[in-house]
Amino acid sequence: MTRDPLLDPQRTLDLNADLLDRQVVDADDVPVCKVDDLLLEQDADGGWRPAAILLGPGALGPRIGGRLGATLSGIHRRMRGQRAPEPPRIAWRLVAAVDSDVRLGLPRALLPDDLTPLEDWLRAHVVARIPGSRDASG
Amino acid sequence: MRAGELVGRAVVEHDGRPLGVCTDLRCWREPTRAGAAPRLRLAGLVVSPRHAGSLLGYERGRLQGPRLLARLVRRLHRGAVVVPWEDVATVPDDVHQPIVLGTARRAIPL
Repeated sequence: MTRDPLLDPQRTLDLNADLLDRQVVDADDVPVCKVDDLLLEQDADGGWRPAAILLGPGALGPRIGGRLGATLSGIHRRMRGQRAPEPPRIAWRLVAAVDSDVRLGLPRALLPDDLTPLEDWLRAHVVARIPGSRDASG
Repeated sequence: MRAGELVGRAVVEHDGRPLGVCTDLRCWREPTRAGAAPRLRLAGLVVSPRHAGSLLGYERGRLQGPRLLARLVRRLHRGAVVVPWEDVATVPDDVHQPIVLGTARRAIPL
């Protein structure tokens, strides 16, 4: 019996097992973020394809759902404000390879600087208020 | 549409009978030139009758050990199938509504 091509691991890839929650690294192997969700868009040929990697609590919250998901979504709204509900994203065309990591084809410095919104928000609103937090050497 | 809106969602037959839960989204890898973004196209839903968790790649022969975990995952996902994307009839905008399959849907056992 011939095996259905949909079962062929050489010809297929599973988004949940092979991409979601994977580490994203830049062209120099520097960790950038994790794949919190993927935006799929319909192409001119009718096929649905990954268009962007979505990042941060605004991507992870709805995916997880439940109480934790709602808390993450709340953090996202608080950080970005109601007027910018969309999570930060990296366009799929910037991805160079997918194996155990998701490798981008360019260095971190050329990427948008809002890719770690939760860390940036915590640094500004929580860590900065801790006495002595500015004394630490990088 | 986000991948997370499909994964974890209930999947029902055209008449509303439950088939299972979408645990993964299977994509075709299409050929590209080296260094270009991998071209992926949604090919089907992995639907598991019981469990919402991922199969962790165990069903594809890529992961072998630990043997006990492999056996547990296989057991939890016994009866899992791939339903080709073209056999999906409706994906409601409301993420709490199940994905509805067409009348002549295929289900390829994993």
